[in-house]
Amino acid sequence: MNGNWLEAMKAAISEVLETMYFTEVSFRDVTPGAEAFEGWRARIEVNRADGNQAVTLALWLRSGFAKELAGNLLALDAQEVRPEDVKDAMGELANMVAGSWINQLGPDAWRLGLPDAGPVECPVSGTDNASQMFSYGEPVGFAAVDPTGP
Amino acid sequence: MAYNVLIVDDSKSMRNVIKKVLKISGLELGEILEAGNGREALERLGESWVDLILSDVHMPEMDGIEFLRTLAGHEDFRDVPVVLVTTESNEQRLEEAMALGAKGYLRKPFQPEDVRSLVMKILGVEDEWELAGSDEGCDF
Repeated sequence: MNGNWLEAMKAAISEVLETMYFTEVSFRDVTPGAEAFEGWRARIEVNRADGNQAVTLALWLRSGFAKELAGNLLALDAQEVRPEDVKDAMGELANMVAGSWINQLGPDAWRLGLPDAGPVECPVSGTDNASQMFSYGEPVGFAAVDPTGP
Repeated sequence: MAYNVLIVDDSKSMRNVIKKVLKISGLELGEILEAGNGREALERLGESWVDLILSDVHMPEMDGIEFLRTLAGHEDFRDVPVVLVTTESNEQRLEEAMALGAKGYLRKPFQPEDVRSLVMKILGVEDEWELAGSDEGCDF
């Protein structure tokens, strides 16, 4: 596990949230508890170009924050945001974060997969390499880098 | 002249964002068409005349590179300018895209200004914002 990966992911999240979602977050590196997280999860796999490594970048966001981000991206009021908007905005968030992450670590060394996003109620995975996100002091979710193989 | 633009991205949110950026760009717009991947984009091209295509690269079914390759071999559409709006930063892939006929690319996340100035440049439209900004001694 490369210690820079999580730092690069935090920088990528900040860049994307500030540019496209008009939001800032702060981070605190933590080991998430085993209790179920309720909200939205967006994941994307990135693979080493040589096929020797795969890593999953995952974002776990509280429902209210995910909805706020979707509203910001689409310039909609919170009450206008539908679950399919949140799903799409979360997937695109993961896509852009992963693109920015790859750009920092070596654009020619990694390949981007396709994102997936959906509501979840399960413990946060990638717990050794996670950071908790805060917006205006409120915990809003986690970012995790999870080596998935080989 | 009003320009018809085709936006190709598997994310509806991103298509909406690009649509909004175009609407505030000052570019005179005709029809804005949308497609979720390269295959759908080819269908849209068969239905309406398009002056500019803004396309993602990473898409299911037919990605942006394959879409460009298909366009390059298509007599009716090969001259339609394509700008990639993408998270792709791999130089080799981007060079491949340019070799296949892409006129330029923008990396996501982007600033609205980046989209506007590249689109204006590629369409050869006089950029009124830039002209206004070039005035010296402009006080606010």
